[in-house]
Amino acid sequence: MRAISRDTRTRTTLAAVAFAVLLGVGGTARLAAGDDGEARLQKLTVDLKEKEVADEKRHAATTDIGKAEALRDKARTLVSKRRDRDALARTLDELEATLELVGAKITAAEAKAKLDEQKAKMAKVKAELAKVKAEADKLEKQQADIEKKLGGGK
Amino acid sequence: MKLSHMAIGVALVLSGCSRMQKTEEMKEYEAAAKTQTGEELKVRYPEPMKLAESSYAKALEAQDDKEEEDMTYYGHLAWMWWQSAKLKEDAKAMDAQRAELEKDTKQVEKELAEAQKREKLAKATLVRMKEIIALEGKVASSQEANQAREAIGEALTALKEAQAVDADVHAAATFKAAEQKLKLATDALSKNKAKDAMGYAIDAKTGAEAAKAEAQPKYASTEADQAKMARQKALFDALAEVSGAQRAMVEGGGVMVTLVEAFGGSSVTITPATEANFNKVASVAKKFTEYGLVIEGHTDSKGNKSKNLTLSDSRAKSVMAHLAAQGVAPDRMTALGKGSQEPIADNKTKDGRFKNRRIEILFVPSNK
Repeated sequence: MRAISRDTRTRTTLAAVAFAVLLGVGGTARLAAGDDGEARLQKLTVDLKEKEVADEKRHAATTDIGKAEALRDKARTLVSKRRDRDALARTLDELEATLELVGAKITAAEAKAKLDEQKAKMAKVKAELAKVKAEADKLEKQQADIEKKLGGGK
Repeated sequence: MKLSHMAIGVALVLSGCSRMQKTEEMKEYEAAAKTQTGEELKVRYPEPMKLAESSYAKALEAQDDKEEEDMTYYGHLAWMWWQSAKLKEDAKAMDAQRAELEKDTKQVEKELAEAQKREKLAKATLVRMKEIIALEGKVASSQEANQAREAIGEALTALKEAQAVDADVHAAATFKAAEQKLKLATDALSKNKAKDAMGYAIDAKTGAEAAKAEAQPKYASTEADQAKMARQKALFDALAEVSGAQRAMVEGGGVMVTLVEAFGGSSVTITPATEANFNKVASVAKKFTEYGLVIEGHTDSKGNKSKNLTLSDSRAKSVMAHLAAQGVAPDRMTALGKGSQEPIADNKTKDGRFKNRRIEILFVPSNK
Protein backbone atom coordinates (compact mmCIF):
# COMPACT_ATOMS: atom_id res chain seq x y z
CA MET A 1 0.00 0.00 0.00
CA ARG A 2 1.31 3.42 -0.83
CA ALA A 3 0.97 6.84 0.65
CA ILE A 4 -1.19 9.58 -0.81
CA SER A 5 0.28 11.48 -3.70
CA ARG A 6 -0.30 14.87 -2.18
CA ASP A 7 2.57 14.07 0.16
CA THR A 8 4.80 13.89 -2.82
CA ARG A 9 4.03 17.32 -4.13
CA THR A 10 6.51 18.86 -1.75
CA ARG A 11 9.21 16.40 -2.72
CA THR A 12 9.97 17.80 -6.10
CA THR A 13 13.59 18.63 -5.81
CA LEU A 14 16.16 16.22 -7.05
CA ALA A 15 17.87 16.31 -3.68
CA ALA A 16 14.77 15.19 -1.87
CA VAL A 17 14.19 12.37 -4.31
CA ALA A 18 17.80 11.25 -4.07
CA PHE A 19 17.59 11.36 -0.29
CA ALA A 20 14.45 9.25 -0.32
CA VAL A 21 16.04 6.71 -2.64
CA LEU A 22 19.16 6.59 -0.51
CA LEU A 23 17.08 5.91 2.53
CA GLY A 24 15.25 3.19 0.73
CA VAL A 25 11.91 4.94 0.99
CA GLY A 26 11.66 5.67 -2.70
CA GLY A 27 8.40 3.73 -2.85
CA THR A 28 6.56 6.58 -1.23
CA ALA A 29 7.83 9.09 -3.76
CA ARG A 30 5.40 8.00 -6.40
CA LEU A 31 6.13 10.17 -9.34
CA ALA A 32 9.75 10.96 -8.87
CA ALA A 33 10.21 9.94 -12.46
CA GLY A 34 7.72 9.61 -15.30
CA ASP A 35 8.33 5.87 -15.48
CA ASP A 36 7.06 5.37 -11.93
CA GLY A 37 3.63 6.52 -13.04
CA GLU A 38 3.74 4.19 -16.02
CA ALA A 39 4.85 1.25 -13.93
CA ARG A 40 2.17 1.92 -11.39
CA LEU A 41 -0.44 2.24 -14.10
CA GLN A 42 0.68 -1.05 -15.58
CA LYS A 43 0.40 -2.78 -12.23
CA LEU A 44 -3.05 -1.32 -11.61
CA THR A 45 -4.15 -2.28 -15.12
CA VAL A 46 -3.22 -5.89 -14.42
CA ASP A 47 -5.01 -5.65 -11.09
CA LEU A 48 -8.10 -4.29 -12.83
CA LYS A 49 -8.08 -7.12 -15.35
CA GLU A 50 -7.87 -9.68 -12.53
CA LYS A 51 -10.76 -8.05 -10.73
CA GLU A 52 -12.84 -8.00 -13.92
CA VAL A 53 -12.30 -11.74 -14.25
CA ALA A 54 -13.04 -12.31 -10.56
CA ASP A 55 -16.31 -10.41 -10.86
CA GLU A 56 -17.55 -12.28 -13.91
CA LYS A 57 -19.46 -14.76 -11.79
CA ARG A 58 -21.37 -12.47 -9.45
CA HIS A 59 -21.19 -8.97 -10.97
CA ALA A 60 -20.88 -7.48 -7.51
CA ALA A 61 -18.85 -4.44 -8.52
CA THR A 62 -19.88 -3.67 -12.10
CA THR A 63 -20.31 0.07 -11.50
CA ASP A 64 -17.00 0.43 -9.69
CA ILE A 65 -15.23 -1.58 -12.36
CA GLY A 66 -16.68 0.85 -14.92
CA LYS A 67 -15.31 3.75 -12.85
CA ALA A 68 -11.94 2.05 -12.60
CA GLU A 69 -11.84 1.56 -16.37
CA ALA A 70 -12.57 5.25 -16.89
CA LEU A 71 -9.80 6.16 -14.43
CA ARG A 72 -7.39 3.79 -16.16
CA ASP A 73 -8.18 5.39 -19.53
CA LYS A 74 -7.70 8.84 -18.05
CA ALA A 75 -4.38 7.77 -16.55
CA ARG A 76 -3.28 6.32 -19.91
CA THR A 77 -3.98 9.66 -21.58
CA LEU A 78 -2.06 11.52 -18.89
CA VAL A 79 0.89 9.13 -19.17
CA SER A 80 1.02 9.49 -22.94
CA LYS A 81 0.96 13.28 -22.70
CA ARG A 82 3.81 13.13 -20.16
CA ARG A 83 2.63 16.25 -18.35
CA ASP A 84 0.61 17.15 -15.32
CA ARG A 85 2.17 14.61 -13.02
CA ASP A 86 0.00 15.65 -10.14
CA ALA A 87 -3.17 14.88 -12.10
CA LEU A 88 -1.72 11.50 -13.02
CA ALA A 89 -0.79 10.72 -9.43
CA ARG A 90 -4.26 11.69 -8.23
CA THR A 91 -5.89 9.59 -10.92
CA LEU A 92 -3.74 6.61 -9.99
CA ASP A 93 -4.50 7.08 -6.28
CA GLU A 94 -8.19 7.09 -7.06
CA LEU A 95 -7.80 4.07 -9.32
CA GLU A 96 -5.94 2.20 -6.59
CA ALA A 97 -8.60 2.99 -3.99
CA THR A 98 -11.36 2.06 -6.45
CA LEU A 99 -9.71 -1.27 -7.15
CA GLU A 100 -9.39 -1.95 -3.43
CA LEU A 101 -13.10 -1.26 -3.12
CA VAL A 102 -13.86 -3.51 -6.10
CA GLY A 103 -11.84 -6.31 -4.48
CA ALA A 104 -13.61 -5.87 -1.16
CA LYS A 105 -17.03 -5.89 -2.84
CA ILE A 106 -16.18 -9.09 -4.68
CA THR A 107 -14.96 -10.70 -1.43
CA ALA A 108 -18.07 -9.61 0.45
CA ALA A 109 -20.38 -10.80 -2.34
CA GLU A 110 -18.60 -14.16 -2.39
CA ALA A 111 -18.95 -14.51 1.39
CA LYS A 112 -22.62 -13.55 1.23
CA ALA A 113 -23.35 -15.99 -1.57
CA LYS A 114 -21.68 -18.83 0.34
CA LEU A 115 -23.54 -17.90 3.51
CA ASP A 116 -26.87 -17.78 1.65
CA GLU A 117 -26.08 -21.14 0.10
CA GLN A 118 -25.40 -22.63 3.53
CA LYS A 119 -28.59 -21.07 4.91
CA ALA A 120 -30.56 -22.60 2.05
CA LYS A 121 -28.94 -25.98 2.70
CA MET A 122 -29.79 -25.77 6.39
CA ALA A 123 -33.41 -24.82 5.60
CA LYS A 124 -33.67 -27.77 3.20
CA VAL A 125 -32.23 -30.25 5.73
CA LYS A 126 -34.51 -28.89 8.48
CA ALA A 127 -37.58 -29.21 6.25
CA GLU A 128 -36.58 -32.76 5.34
CA LEU A 129 -36.04 -33.57 9.02
CA ALA A 130 -39.50 -32.28 9.95
CA LYS A 131 -41.05 -34.35 7.14
CA VAL A 132 -39.20 -37.56 8.01
CA LYS A 133 -39.83 -37.14 11.74
CA ALA A 134 -43.55 -36.69 11.14
CA GLU A 135 -43.62 -39.75 8.88
CA ALA A 136 -41.66 -41.84 11.44
CA ASP A 137 -44.02 -40.73 14.23
CA LYS A 138 -47.02 -41.69 12.11
CA LEU A 139 -45.60 -45.10 11.25
CA GLU A 140 -44.59 -45.81 14.83
CA LYS A 141 -48.10 -44.97 15.97
CA GLN A 142 -49.57 -47.34 13.38
CA GLN A 143 -47.11 -49.96 14.53
CA ALA A 144 -48.16 -49.51 18.17
CA ASP A 145 -51.82 -49.81 17.18
CA ILE A 146 -51.20 -53.05 15.30
CA GLU A 147 -49.10 -54.38 18.16
CA LYS A 148 -52.08 -53.82 20.44
CA LYS A 149 -54.32 -55.68 17.99
CA LEU A 150 -51.90 -58.58 17.68
CA GLY A 151 -51.54 -58.68 21.41
CA GLY A 152 -48.33 -59.65 23.10
CA GLY A 153 -46.21 -57.69 20.61
CA LYS A 154 -43.60 -55.47 22.19
CA MET B 1 -28.60 51.95 -4.28
CA LYS B 2 -26.05 52.33 -1.51
CA LEU B 3 -28.06 50.00 0.70
CA SER B 4 -28.10 47.26 -1.92
CA HIS B 5 -24.35 47.56 -2.37
CA MET B 6 -23.91 47.17 1.35
CA ALA B 7 -26.14 44.10 1.41
CA ILE B 8 -24.14 42.49 -1.38
CA GLY B 9 -20.95 43.33 0.49
CA VAL B 10 -22.20 41.79 3.72
CA ALA B 11 -23.35 38.68 1.85
CA LEU B 12 -19.96 38.35 0.23
CA VAL B 13 -18.18 38.70 3.57
CA LEU B 14 -20.49 36.18 5.19
CA SER B 15 -20.08 33.69 2.40
CA GLY B 16 -16.33 34.16 2.65
CA CYS B 17 -16.41 33.38 6.35
CA SER B 18 -18.74 30.34 6.23
CA ARG B 19 -17.15 26.87 5.98
CA MET B 20 -17.87 24.64 3.03
CA GLN B 21 -20.26 21.80 3.76
CA LYS B 22 -18.69 18.38 4.09
CA THR B 23 -19.72 15.86 1.44
CA GLU B 24 -22.05 13.00 2.35
CA GLU B 25 -19.16 10.55 2.01
CA MET B 26 -17.08 12.60 4.47
CA LYS B 27 -19.95 12.69 6.96
CA GLU B 28 -20.46 8.96 6.62
CA TYR B 29 -16.77 8.21 7.11
CA GLU B 30 -16.48 10.63 10.05
CA ALA B 31 -19.44 9.08 11.87
CA ALA B 32 -18.22 5.52 11.27
CA ALA B 33 -14.62 6.21 12.27
CA LYS B 34 -15.69 7.31 15.76
CA THR B 35 -17.54 4.10 16.53
CA GLN B 36 -16.18 0.99 18.23
CA THR B 37 -16.26 -0.80 14.87
CA GLY B 38 -14.24 2.02 13.36
CA GLU B 39 -11.59 1.60 16.05
CA GLU B 40 -11.52 -2.16 15.50
CA LEU B 41 -11.08 -1.67 11.76
CA LYS B 42 -7.97 0.40 12.47
CA VAL B 43 -6.43 -2.56 14.28
CA ARG B 44 -7.50 -5.21 11.80
CA TYR B 45 -6.86 -3.29 8.58
CA PRO B 46 -4.16 -0.80 9.54
CA GLU B 47 -2.97 0.02 6.05
CA PRO B 48 -6.23 0.92 4.28
CA MET B 49 -7.46 2.64 7.43
CA LYS B 50 -4.27 4.68 7.61
CA LEU B 51 -4.85 5.74 4.01
CA ALA B 52 -8.45 6.58 4.86
CA GLU B 53 -7.31 8.73 7.79
CA SER B 54 -4.65 10.58 5.84
CA SER B 55 -7.05 11.19 2.95
CA TYR B 56 -9.64 12.48 5.35
CA ALA B 57 -7.13 14.84 6.96
CA LYS B 58 -6.39 16.23 3.50
CA ALA B 59 -10.11 16.59 2.83
CA LEU B 60 -10.45 18.65 6.02
CA GLU B 61 -7.45 20.72 5.02
CA ALA B 62 -9.07 21.36 1.65
CA GLN B 63 -12.29 22.30 3.42
CA ASP B 64 -10.38 24.91 5.41
CA ASP B 65 -8.73 26.18 2.25
CA LYS B 66 -12.14 26.23 0.52
CA GLU B 67 -10.88 23.98 -2.24
CA GLU B 68 -14.10 22.15 -2.97
CA GLU B 69 -12.75 19.91 -5.69
CA ASP B 70 -9.88 18.73 -3.47
CA MET B 71 -12.18 18.23 -0.52
CA THR B 72 -14.55 16.07 -2.57
CA TYR B 73 -11.64 14.11 -4.05
CA TYR B 74 -9.92 13.32 -0.76
CA GLY B 75 -13.23 12.74 0.98
CA HIS B 76 -14.05 10.18 -1.69
CA LEU B 77 -10.66 8.48 -1.30
CA ALA B 78 -11.12 8.30 2.49
CA TRP B 79 -14.58 6.82 2.02
CA MET B 80 -13.36 4.20 -0.46
CA TRP B 81 -10.49 3.01 1.75
CA TRP B 82 -12.78 2.84 4.76
CA GLN B 83 -15.53 1.05 2.80
CA SER B 84 -13.02 -1.50 1.57
CA ALA B 85 -11.91 -2.30 5.13
CA LYS B 86 -15.52 -2.43 6.28
CA LEU B 87 -16.56 -4.76 3.47
CA LYS B 88 -13.64 -7.08 4.20
CA GLU B 89 -14.66 -7.17 7.83
CA ASP B 90 -18.26 -7.89 6.83
CA ALA B 91 -17.00 -10.73 4.63
CA LYS B 92 -14.99 -12.14 7.53
CA ALA B 93 -18.04 -12.02 9.80
CA MET B 94 -20.14 -13.77 7.15
CA ASP B 95 -17.48 -16.47 6.75
CA ALA B 96 -17.49 -17.04 10.52
CA GLN B 97 -21.29 -17.21 10.51
CA ARG B 98 -21.18 -19.72 7.66
CA ALA B 99 -18.66 -21.87 9.51
CA GLU B 100 -20.97 -21.99 12.54
CA LEU B 101 -23.92 -22.74 10.31
CA GLU B 102 -22.03 -25.58 8.64
CA LYS B 103 -21.50 -27.21 12.03
CA ASP B 104 -25.16 -26.75 12.92
CA THR B 105 -26.19 -28.19 9.56
CA LYS B 106 -24.05 -31.26 10.22
CA GLN B 107 -25.82 -31.71 13.54
CA VAL B 108 -29.24 -31.45 11.87
CA GLU B 109 -28.08 -33.90 9.21
CA LYS B 110 -27.25 -36.36 11.98
CA GLU B 111 -30.72 -35.90 13.43
CA LEU B 112 -32.13 -36.47 9.96
CA ALA B 113 -30.17 -39.70 9.61
CA GLU B 114 -31.59 -40.86 12.96
CA ALA B 115 -35.13 -39.98 11.90
CA GLN B 116 -34.65 -41.77 8.57
CA LYS B 117 -33.51 -44.84 10.46
CA ARG B 118 -36.61 -44.70 12.67
CA GLU B 119 -38.80 -44.32 9.60
CA LYS B 120 -37.15 -47.25 7.84
CA LEU B 121 -37.46 -49.48 10.88
CA ALA B 122 -41.11 -48.60 11.44
CA LYS B 123 -41.91 -49.12 7.76
CA ALA B 124 -40.29 -52.56 7.65
CA THR B 125 -41.95 -53.68 10.88
CA LEU B 126 -45.33 -52.44 9.66
CA VAL B 127 -45.08 -54.41 6.43
CA ARG B 128 -44.36 -57.59 8.37
CA MET B 129 -47.15 -56.89 10.84
CA LYS B 130 -49.66 -56.23 8.10
CA GLU B 131 -48.90 -59.61 6.58
CA ILE B 132 -49.71 -61.22 9.89
CA ILE B 133 -52.87 -59.14 10.35
CA ALA B 134 -53.99 -60.22 6.89
CA LEU B 135 -54.01 -63.80 8.14
CA GLU B 136 -56.72 -63.03 10.67
CA GLY B 137 -59.93 -64.60 9.57
CA LYS B 138 -58.20 -66.86 7.03
CA VAL B 139 -56.63 -69.14 9.57
CA ALA B 140 -58.69 -71.68 11.39
CA SER B 141 -58.70 -71.18 15.11
CA SER B 142 -56.86 -74.01 16.78
CA GLN B 143 -54.36 -74.34 19.56
CA GLU B 144 -51.63 -75.17 17.05
CA ALA B 145 -52.46 -72.14 14.91
CA ASN B 146 -52.51 -69.91 17.96
CA GLN B 147 -49.07 -71.18 19.00
CA ALA B 148 -47.73 -70.55 15.47
CA ARG B 149 -49.21 -67.05 15.54
CA GLU B 150 -47.48 -66.41 18.84
CA ALA B 151 -44.15 -67.72 17.50
CA ILE B 152 -44.51 -65.43 14.47
CA GLY B 153 -45.13 -62.47 16.85
CA GLU B 154 -41.95 -63.35 18.73
CA ALA B 155 -39.96 -63.60 15.49
CA LEU B 156 -41.34 -60.23 14.47
CA THR B 157 -40.16 -58.66 17.71
CA ALA B 158 -36.74 -60.26 17.34
CA LEU B 159 -36.41 -58.85 13.81
CA LYS B 160 -37.43 -55.41 15.02
CA GLU B 161 -34.80 -55.53 17.76
CA ALA B 162 -32.16 -56.69 15.31
CA GLN B 163 -32.97 -53.89 12.91
CA ALA B 164 -32.75 -51.39 15.76
CA VAL B 165 -29.01 -52.13 15.94
CA ASP B 166 -28.73 -51.86 12.15
CA ALA B 167 -28.54 -55.63 11.63
CA ASP B 168 -29.97 -55.06 8.15
CA VAL B 169 -26.71 -53.17 7.42
CA HIS B 170 -24.06 -54.76 9.68
CA ALA B 171 -25.34 -58.37 9.36
CA ALA B 172 -27.23 -58.08 6.10
CA ALA B 173 -27.13 -61.76 5.01
CA THR B 174 -28.18 -63.24 8.37
CA PHE B 175 -30.89 -60.63 8.75
CA LYS B 176 -32.27 -61.24 5.26
CA ALA B 177 -32.40 -65.00 5.86
CA ALA B 178 -34.37 -64.42 9.06
CA GLU B 179 -36.77 -62.13 7.22
CA GLN B 180 -37.35 -64.83 4.59
CA LYS B 181 -38.08 -67.42 7.27
CA LEU B 182 -40.70 -65.13 8.73
CA LYS B 183 -42.28 -64.74 5.31
CA LEU B 184 -42.36 -68.51 4.93
CA ALA B 185 -43.95 -68.78 8.36
CA THR B 186 -46.77 -66.37 7.47
CA ASP B 187 -47.28 -68.08 4.09
CA ALA B 188 -47.52 -71.48 5.81
CA LEU B 189 -49.98 -70.18 8.38
CA SER B 190 -52.15 -68.63 5.66
CA LYS B 191 -52.35 -72.12 4.14
CA ASN B 192 -53.33 -73.47 7.54
CA LYS B 193 -50.04 -75.35 7.84
CA ALA B 194 -49.58 -74.40 11.47
CA LYS B 195 -46.82 -76.89 12.19
CA ASP B 196 -44.66 -75.64 9.30
CA ALA B 197 -45.42 -72.07 10.29
CA MET B 198 -44.25 -72.79 13.81
CA GLY B 199 -40.93 -74.22 12.53
CA TYR B 200 -40.26 -71.29 10.22
CA ALA B 201 -41.17 -68.78 12.91
CA ILE B 202 -38.71 -70.35 15.35
CA ASP B 203 -35.99 -70.27 12.66
CA ALA B 204 -36.83 -66.63 11.95
CA LYS B 205 -36.51 -65.72 15.61
CA THR B 206 -33.20 -67.58 15.96
CA GLY B 207 -31.89 -65.96 12.79
CA ALA B 208 -32.93 -62.50 13.93
CA GLU B 209 -31.18 -62.99 17.26
CA ALA B 210 -28.03 -64.13 15.47
CA ALA B 211 -28.16 -61.08 13.21
CA LYS B 212 -28.56 -58.85 16.25
CA ALA B 213 -25.54 -60.43 17.96
CA GLU B 214 -23.50 -60.08 14.79
CA ALA B 215 -24.41 -56.42 14.30
CA GLN B 216 -24.10 -55.33 17.93
CA PRO B 217 -20.30 -54.71 18.09
CA LYS B 218 -20.26 -52.68 14.86
CA TYR B 219 -23.29 -50.74 15.96
CA ALA B 220 -21.76 -50.04 19.38
CA SER B 221 -18.59 -48.75 17.80
CA THR B 222 -20.59 -46.39 15.56
CA GLU B 223 -22.57 -45.27 18.57
CA ALA B 224 -19.36 -44.62 20.49
CA ASP B 225 -18.02 -42.54 17.60
CA GLN B 226 -21.20 -40.55 17.52
CA ALA B 227 -21.10 -40.03 21.27
CA LYS B 228 -17.51 -38.85 20.99
CA MET B 229 -18.47 -36.41 18.26
CA ALA B 230 -21.40 -35.14 20.30
CA ARG B 231 -19.08 -34.59 23.25
CA GLN B 232 -16.61 -32.74 21.04
CA LYS B 233 -19.41 -30.49 19.81
CA ALA B 234 -20.55 -29.89 23.40
CA LEU B 235 -16.99 -28.89 24.36
CA PHE B 236 -16.74 -26.64 21.32
CA ASP B 237 -20.02 -24.93 22.27
CA ALA B 238 -19.00 -24.58 25.92
CA LEU B 239 -15.80 -22.80 24.90
CA ALA B 240 -17.89 -20.14 23.13
CA GLU B 241 -18.11 -18.50 26.56
CA VAL B 242 -14.45 -17.52 26.29
CA SER B 243 -14.95 -14.12 24.70
CA GLY B 244 -12.70 -13.10 21.84
CA ALA B 245 -11.17 -16.57 21.57
CA GLN B 246 -10.95 -18.48 18.32
CA ARG B 247 -12.24 -22.05 18.47
CA ALA B 248 -11.70 -24.96 16.12
CA MET B 249 -12.60 -28.62 16.16
CA VAL B 250 -9.59 -30.77 15.40
CA GLU B 251 -9.29 -34.31 14.13
CA GLY B 252 -9.39 -37.06 16.72
CA GLY B 253 -12.15 -35.41 18.74
CA GLY B 254 -10.21 -32.44 20.13
CA VAL B 255 -10.95 -28.75 20.28
CA MET B 256 -8.44 -25.92 20.07
CA VAL B 257 -9.00 -22.54 21.63
CA THR B 258 -6.73 -19.61 20.79
CA LEU B 259 -6.35 -16.47 22.87
CA VAL B 260 -4.33 -13.49 21.64
CA GLU B 261 -2.52 -10.78 23.57
CA ALA B 262 -2.86 -12.43 26.95
CA PHE B 263 0.37 -10.86 28.18
CA GLY B 264 1.68 -7.32 28.12
CA GLY B 265 5.06 -6.48 26.55
CA SER B 266 7.53 -9.19 27.50
CA SER B 267 5.70 -10.07 30.71
CA VAL B 268 4.89 -13.63 31.71
CA THR B 269 1.99 -12.62 33.90
CA ILE B 270 -1.49 -12.92 32.44
CA THR B 271 -3.06 -9.48 32.04
CA PRO B 272 -6.05 -8.78 34.31
CA ALA B 273 -8.12 -8.18 31.17
CA THR B 274 -7.67 -11.77 29.96
CA GLU B 275 -7.66 -13.48 33.35
CA ALA B 276 -11.43 -13.94 33.22
CA ASN B 277 -11.09 -15.74 29.89
CA PHE B 278 -8.62 -18.24 31.34
CA ASN B 279 -10.95 -18.73 34.29
CA LYS B 280 -13.68 -19.68 31.81
CA VAL B 281 -11.32 -22.11 30.09
CA ALA B 282 -10.63 -23.66 33.51
CA SER B 283 -14.32 -23.89 34.28
CA VAL B 284 -14.96 -25.71 30.97
CA ALA B 285 -11.92 -27.99 31.53
CA LYS B 286 -13.36 -29.03 34.90
CA LYS B 287 -16.60 -30.08 33.21
CA PHE B 288 -14.85 -32.04 30.46
CA THR B 289 -12.54 -34.15 32.56
CA GLU B 290 -12.03 -36.76 29.85
CA TYR B 291 -9.86 -34.25 27.96
CA GLY B 292 -6.19 -33.50 28.52
CA LEU B 293 -4.91 -29.96 27.86
CA VAL B 294 -1.88 -29.06 25.77
CA ILE B 295 -0.98 -25.41 26.32
CA GLU B 296 1.24 -23.79 23.72
CA GLY B 297 2.79 -20.33 23.85
CA HIS B 298 3.55 -18.48 20.59
CA THR B 299 5.18 -15.14 19.87
CA ASP B 300 5.53 -12.93 16.79
CA SER B 301 8.83 -12.83 14.93
CA LYS B 302 10.08 -9.59 16.46
CA GLY B 303 13.23 -9.88 18.54
CA ASN B 304 15.61 -12.71 19.29
CA LYS B 305 14.44 -16.22 18.34
CA SER B 306 15.74 -18.02 21.39
CA LYS B 307 14.44 -15.32 23.74
CA ASN B 308 11.04 -15.66 22.07
CA LEU B 309 11.16 -19.40 22.62
CA THR B 310 11.95 -18.98 26.32
CA LEU B 311 9.30 -16.29 26.67
CA SER B 312 6.62 -18.42 25.00
CA ASP B 313 7.54 -21.37 27.21
CA SER B 314 7.29 -19.28 30.37
CA ARG B 315 3.96 -17.91 29.23
CA ALA B 316 2.56 -21.37 28.51
CA LYS B 317 3.68 -22.46 31.99
CA SER B 318 2.14 -19.35 33.50
CA VAL B 319 -1.21 -20.24 31.88
CA MET B 320 -0.88 -23.83 33.15
CA ALA B 321 -0.23 -22.56 36.68
CA HIS B 322 -3.23 -20.27 36.44
CA LEU B 323 -5.51 -23.09 35.29
CA ALA B 324 -4.16 -25.33 38.04
CA ALA B 325 -4.91 -22.60 40.58
CA GLN B 326 -8.46 -22.58 39.22
CA GLY B 327 -8.78 -26.28 39.98
CA VAL B 328 -7.71 -28.06 36.80
CA ALA B 329 -5.68 -31.14 37.74
CA PRO B 330 -2.00 -30.50 36.80
CA ASP B 331 -1.56 -34.07 35.57
CA ARG B 332 -4.05 -33.34 32.78
CA MET B 333 -1.94 -30.49 31.45
CA THR B 334 1.24 -30.03 29.41
CA ALA B 335 2.80 -26.65 28.67
CA LEU B 336 5.32 -25.83 25.97
CA GLY B 337 6.68 -22.81 24.14
CA LYS B 338 6.92 -22.62 20.37
CA GLY B 339 8.45 -19.15 20.06
CA SER B 340 7.88 -17.62 16.65
CA GLN B 341 8.30 -20.85 14.66
CA GLU B 342 4.63 -21.52 13.99
CA PRO B 343 3.06 -18.26 12.81
CA ILE B 344 -0.58 -18.28 11.74
CA ALA B 345 -0.48 -14.82 10.15
CA ASP B 346 1.90 -12.51 8.31
CA ASN B 347 4.53 -11.15 10.70
CA LYS B 348 5.12 -8.21 8.35
CA THR B 349 1.83 -6.58 9.32
CA LYS B 350 0.69 -5.24 12.68
CA ASP B 351 -2.51 -7.26 12.46
CA GLY B 352 -0.54 -10.40 11.61
CA ARG B 353 1.84 -9.98 14.55
CA PHE B 354 -1.16 -9.39 16.81
CA LYS B 355 -2.60 -12.75 15.74
CA ASN B 356 0.71 -14.52 16.19
CA ARG B 357 1.16 -13.46 19.83
CA ARG B 358 -1.10 -16.14 21.16
CA ILE B 359 -1.77 -18.97 23.57
CA GLU B 360 -3.26 -22.12 22.08
CA ILE B 361 -4.98 -24.58 24.36
CA LEU B 362 -5.70 -27.92 22.78
CA PHE B 363 -8.28 -30.13 24.47
CA VAL B 364 -7.29 -33.69 23.59
CA PRO B 365 -9.54 -36.65 24.44
CA SER B 366 -7.57 -38.91 26.74
CA ASN B 367 -7.80 -42.69 26.49
CA LYS B 368 -8.07 -43.21 30.22
